[in-house]
Formats: sequence, C-alpha cells, structure tokens
Amino acid sequence: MADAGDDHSVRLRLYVAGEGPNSRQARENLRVICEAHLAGRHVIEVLDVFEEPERALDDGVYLTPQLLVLVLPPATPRTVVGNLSEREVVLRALGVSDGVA
Amino acid sequence: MTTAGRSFAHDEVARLVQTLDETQERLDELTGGQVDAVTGAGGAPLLLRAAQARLRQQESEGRAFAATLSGILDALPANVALLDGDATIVAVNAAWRRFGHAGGLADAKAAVGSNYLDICDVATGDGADDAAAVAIGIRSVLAGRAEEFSVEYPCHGPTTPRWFRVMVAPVGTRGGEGGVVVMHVDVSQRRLAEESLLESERGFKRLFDHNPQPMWVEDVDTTRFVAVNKAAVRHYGFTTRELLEMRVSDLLAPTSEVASASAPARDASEGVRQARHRVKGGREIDVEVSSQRLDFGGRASRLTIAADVTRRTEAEAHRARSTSLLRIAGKLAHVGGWALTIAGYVVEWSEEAALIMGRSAEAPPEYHDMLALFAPDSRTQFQTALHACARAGTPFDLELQVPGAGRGRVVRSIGEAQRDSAGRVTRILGALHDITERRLLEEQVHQSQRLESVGQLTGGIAHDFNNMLTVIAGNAELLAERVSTDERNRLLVTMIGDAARRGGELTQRLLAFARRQPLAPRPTDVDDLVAGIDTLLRHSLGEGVDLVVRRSHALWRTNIDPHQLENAIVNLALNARDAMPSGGRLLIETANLTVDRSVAERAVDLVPGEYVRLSVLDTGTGIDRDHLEHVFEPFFTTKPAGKGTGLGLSMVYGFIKQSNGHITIDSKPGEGTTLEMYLPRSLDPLALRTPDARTASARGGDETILVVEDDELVRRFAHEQLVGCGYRVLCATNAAQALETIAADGHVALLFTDVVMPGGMNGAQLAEEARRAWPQLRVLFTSGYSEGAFDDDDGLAAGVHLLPKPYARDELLHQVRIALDAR
Repeated sequence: MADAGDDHSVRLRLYVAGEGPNSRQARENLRVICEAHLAGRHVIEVLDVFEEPERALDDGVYLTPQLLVLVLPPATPRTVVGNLSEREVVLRALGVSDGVA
Repeated sequence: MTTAGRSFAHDEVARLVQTLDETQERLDELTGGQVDAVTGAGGAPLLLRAAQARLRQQESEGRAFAATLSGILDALPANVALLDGDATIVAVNAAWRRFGHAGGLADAKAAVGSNYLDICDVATGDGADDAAAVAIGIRSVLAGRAEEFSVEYPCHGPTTPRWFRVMVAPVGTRGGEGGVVVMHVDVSQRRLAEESLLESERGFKRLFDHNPQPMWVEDVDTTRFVAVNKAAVRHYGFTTRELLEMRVSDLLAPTSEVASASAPARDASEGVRQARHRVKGGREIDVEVSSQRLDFGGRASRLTIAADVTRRTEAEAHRARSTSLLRIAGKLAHVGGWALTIAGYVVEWSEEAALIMGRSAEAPPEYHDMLALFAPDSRTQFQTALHACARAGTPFDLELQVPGAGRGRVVRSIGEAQRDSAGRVTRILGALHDITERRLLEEQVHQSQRLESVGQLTGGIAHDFNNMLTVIAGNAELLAERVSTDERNRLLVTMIGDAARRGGELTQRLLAFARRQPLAPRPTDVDDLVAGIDTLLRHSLGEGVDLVVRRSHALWRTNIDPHQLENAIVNLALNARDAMPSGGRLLIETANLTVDRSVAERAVDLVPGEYVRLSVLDTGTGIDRDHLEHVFEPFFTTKPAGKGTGLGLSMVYGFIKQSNGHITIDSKPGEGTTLEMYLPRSLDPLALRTPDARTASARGGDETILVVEDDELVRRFAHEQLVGCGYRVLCATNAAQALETIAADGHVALLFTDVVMPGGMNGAQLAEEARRAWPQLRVLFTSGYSEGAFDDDDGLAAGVHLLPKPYARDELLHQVRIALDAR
C-alpha cells in the first residue's frame, strides 16, 4: 500500500454504506482498477456513512457508495456515484485513460 | 392510529409512506440501482430498501454459514482455534474446549479472548520446549515469514502415550495479517503404529545383528554385501567395512569347486548348499549356506546364513578314519564283528568276519546258511549258545570249528545280548576271532616244551647211567684179563662187557636227544658230506629203494659236527627204508634258504637268518597226524616191537637243535614223509678232517697223568687202567685240589678231567686256569655230556681233547696217547 503523503499519489475517498451490496462491489471494483492502473500511486480512504455521516455531509455526499477523487482546492473533487462497475467512467474520473498505465 | 399517545390522520401517513416509496424508486431509477444509502441534511443516512433486503438476506446467509462452519469445526477430530493478528483467540471448536479440561497446550486458559502466545510463553514442565517451538512457529506465520508451521509433540496421558501434531496456517490470503488457525491433531494412533513398526524393525535388526550364525544380505545383481551381522564379522575375521567392499565370491576358497566359484550367486540362489570359504588370513572352513530372496531397500537381494560345519566335517572324517582303523585292526588281528537281530533272525557281519568264514564280503547269509558254515558239533554248540543268549541274555565265548582246506579253521566266537529299554533282548552282538594260527603255534610250543622236558629228564638219567656203565665196562675188561684162562668165566665177563657197551650206546643216543652229546662242529659242506656216504646209504637202503641226491649250486657251508650229521642222515635213510617195504624213492636235497621274520614267526624256535636246508623225502607209507606230533619223542616208534629203538628221530632232533638248527616233519599217510633240517650258515673256511682218533692203536707210556674225577668208582677205574699201562698217576676230586697237586708235583704232563664237577669250578675252567700257569700242560676231557661247558664254543681248543663217557679201556688209552703226543 502506498504512502499516504506522497505528492505523486492519487488520493481517493470512497464512501460506503456498511456491507450494502453496491458498497461492497464498489470497494472491490476500485481495488481491482487501482491495482491495474495506479499500482503504487494511490491512497484509498474508505468511509462508512453509517459511522461517519457528518463527513459525508461535509463532502456533500448524499448518495452512497460514492467515490471522490481528491484534487487540490479550489478545484472541486471529481465524483463517481454507484458500484464503480462502469470501468470507463471510473478511469475518466481518475484521470487515466484505459490502456494507459 | 395513535402512537405515544398522539393521534394522527391515517390518510396523511399513507401519503407520506407512498412518497417515501416513490422517492426511493426514483433514486434507484436515477442511479441505476447502484446506491445503497442516502444521507440527508439531518445527518442520519438512510439505507435504501433493496440494500436493506440484500443485507438481511446476507445476514441470514452468514448466520447459516457460520452455523455450518461451526458444526464442521466441531466435527473435526482436531482441536482448532482461530487467532487474530495479535494471536488472541477469537474462536475455538468444541474439541478445543473439551481438551481444555485435560490440559496441554490448548488448556483451560486457552479460552476465547486469551492470547495464545502468552499461554505458550509461560508454559512450564515437560511441554515447555514444545510450547516455545509452537510460539516461534505462530509468530513466523503471523509475520508472514512462513507459509505454515507444523510440529509433533508428545502429550502422554497418565496411562497411555499420546502424540499431537500442531499445525499453524494463516487465515485469508494476505499472510498472517488476518490471523491464523491453530490446529492440534491427535496422531497417537499413527505414531504408535510407527513406533511399533520401528520396534519390530529394531527387533529384526537385533535378530540379524546378534544372531550367532554368520548372516549377510547381498545384492543379487552386484553380489556385493549390503549388510553383515556381528557373527559374520567375528567368524570371517574381516571388519564390517571390509566386508561391505567385498563380493560374496571373495569369500570362496581357491580350492572350492569351480562350479560354485564361477556360477554367479544368481543361480546358486535359494536352498541349502555346501561351500568352502576362506576367512581372513587364508584359513579355509566348510560351510553350509542357505539363502532366501528378499527385497532390501528396494533392491533384489538375498539373505544368506552360513553355518560353519568344519568341525562336523572333521568329525565325519575322523569317524571315517576311525572306522577304517577298526577295519584294518580287525584284518590284522583276524577279528570280525557280527550281529544277529532277534526279530527275523537277521545276520550282519563285517568284511573280516566274512573272510574268516571263507565267504566273500557281499551280503551276509541267512541265519541257517550261516550256521551251516560251521562243523556239525560246533553248529549245535553255537546254536545252543545263541538261543540261550536270545532267551536269557547269557553271554558266550566259544571255540568253533570251520571246515575248510587242511584242518579247517578254528574261530573263537564271543557274543553278548543287547537289550531294549524294556530289558528284552533285541540283538546279539559278537566278535569272531580266527585263532587257527595261534592254535597251531600253541601246539608247536607245547610239543617243543614237552620234548624239552623229556630231554632234561633223559639227560639226567643218562649221565648217571654213564658213570655206572663206565665202571661196569672197565671192570669187566680188567676181569676178563684175570680170567683169561678160565673159558667159562671169560665168556660171562665178555657178556657183561658187551651189555655195558650196548647200554653205553643207548645212553649216548639219549644224550644226543637231550642235546647233551659232546659235539665237535666244524664248517662243513653238506653236499660233500652226503656224497661221502653215498655208498653207505645205497648199501643200507637195499635194492628196492631208489636214492636220488639233488645237490645245490654253490651251497653255503654250515657249522656242524660232520660225524653226527652222517649218523643222522643214515638214521633217516633207514627210517625211510622201513617205511617203504615194497620199494620207493628216497630224495635227499639241499638248498640255500633265507628265513625272514614273517616265516620265522610262524614256527617255534626258528630264528630269522641264513640256513642250509637239507631235505629227506620218501615215498613211503607216511605217518598219520596223531603220530606225527610224537615222532621226536624218545622210545616212540611205529615199527613192530624189536625192529627199532625208538631213538632214531629223537637223536636227530636233539642233534639239530643242539647245533642251533631247526627241524620239521610233514607227512601224508600213503604219500610219504618229508623231513627238513635247517642248518645255520657258517662263513668260516672249511676245516680239514682230523684223523679219526678211535682208529689209532692203544699204547701205554710213562708220563705223569693227573686224573680229576669226583665219582670215586670212575676215578679208581681210570687210575687202575692208566697205572696198568705204565703211567704215573695222581688223583684229585675237584679243581682246587687238582691245581694244588700240579703245583706241588711239578711233573704233570696231562690233565685228565671230567667236565662236570662240583665245587664251583668245572673241568673247562680248571683246564683254562691250569694252562695259563703251565702252557705245556696237555688236557683230556671226559664227559657223560657236554652240558654247559662247551655250549657256546665252536669246538675244543687246540691241544684239548674229549673222551666221551662211557669209555672202554682201549679208547681211554688211545685218547691219552693222542693227547700226550699232540703238538
């Protein structure tokens, strides 16, 4: 697992709803896509909305599961809602195109 | 509808729930069903219906799975615990809990919530080392340094040995991060089986190693030793290391059969076989080898046991030697063995026994055939003895006759009963000893001894007779001169004189038989001697008997009294003539003969050496066996009374014996008689024959004569005669007196002495003593017999003369004159 404070790393935050079926899929899908395209260059933070609802509100997350690709302010994070099963959408959000490592 | 005491309108509730449903459906539509929850401004997230249903289902499935899992775990025949990443026990199965009560690594402290590493670290006692090892194993797996860990440890119960295998494996796919499963499995069964197998193998190994017989395992293909036991090392002298570098064929002795040496062990494989092996140092041993194919470490091998039978082989050889020794001994001693088995009357006998019985050594005869081999009387005797032995166990020792050539054979049969454990006689064991030759020798010895004792008796009597006859004959002569004018008395006196002379001749013959006649042996050619009396013999034999003389080429000389030998031959010729009343042939034959030890041993009184054999054979009536034993005894005659004296053969016998010779007689009635005389060879040159003293005329003289004679009558007779012829005569009764007289008188020219005298010194010794002092002294011996005095001498010394008793006046005067005139 990559170091948290790496400047070159992509910082990701995934909100899940416990063991909800879409949440579990989203976790797994994200892991697989990151290992394939961002191996060693990413940090994933998984947050459960049932445990930390205020952080969801802070990030303006109403729907869970939802992936936030964090970028430096003032730019707003790119978000993907759902179980991350649409690979192209996720890659676009991550800023990498398919086939490029 | 109320809740918590507040009442509200049913319609409004229904509208709100519908809105909620519609909201959720709309969200599902908007997100394609990919959202689980919505988070409102209020802060509490709302799980959407689909997610809720899914979760409920998952929860229920999870519970079912957990229950299944728990059931499986509980059913496992192992103590299983699940540890988390810190080694805290998260879950255990039923076996683990049960085992907790029995102690061990998974003991009561090892309940859910405890830290298993802590438990291992503080373990003490027998299991402390194993616990420490398990702790290290768990840490390795937890840290991802090991895929898994496994170790077996003993955990013996109070009565039964018990072993466990502990296995540690990571949970999940990411090393030990997700914790580990610790599982203790009871492996006592397997362990015990292994132990038992090991123990069994150890037992077989001991059986092999400590077996007293040399054993080894050899590889069938390479024939190399692959294992050897201690006995093999000990017995063959090679070290284990040396043996393991050798091939089996290296043990074979060079003298071993080529076949077994060249045939690879592959052929000479199983079963028992003989071999000759070589131990370290070269000594060879006989072994009995037995092999068995077996699989040894996956290789085709052979287990071989080698039993050293050298000692047994030696024992067999020893037995064979001893048997052969026994056989040879039996042959030499003419002793055979036999046995009669009572059941069936089966006869067994040894080779020698068969030969003694005149049979070849093939199969022994039937009982009755065996009995039939004996003479009728012996057969009955033997049969009776056998029956007594079979019935009552009476041992026997019999002398039995076996008919055959000549007088047949005499055998001694000794038998003894052999009994079974019940005391019944089952066999008769016996020895058979051929004593024929011994019997013959014993008879000869007996006969020889009888002749010897008769001779001694005869000799003693004859000696006394001689003295008396000398006096009678002498005085008869004196008397005859005094009554010369009285015709009647002169006739009577002449008769006395004749009778005395005949008596003298008779005693002379008796003395000859008794080997006590004075002999004058000298080297003699017997062929010449026989030729010299040829005319006399032909005249004596008469017309009807044909005399054949076979001379021998270069006949040896013999030392013998020629006159007596002539007498003997004439005597034998006359006997032969009498045995051939209707004519026949007399053969006189000579030969040189060497008697060796083997011949001498078969006869009595025959000394090995060189002899001249003089044989006299006639074709007369012969003498039957019973008479033959007695023919040499004096006064034994087969002639009609008055025809013979019965002293002829006795004289010959005594003469030959006295001449150190040997005489045998053999005869077959109707075929004739053979006499053989063995006369010892002499290497001395032939002596010239001295003129016969008895033919000289009687003359007197005037010399001084000393007469030494212990018998007063004889002394007086000699004194009278000699004085009557003009001699000066002195007398002495013993040797001492004689020597004194010679010394005192100083004129003694002739010593006339008896040979046999009392007083310690005999006539011969006296003469020797006297001639030493007075060398010119002449000596004339007189003797009834020559007992002792001249036995060892070849003859009389020069200047020494002998006048046999009884002597007539003329003979006395002749001999005295010859002695005095001799140079």
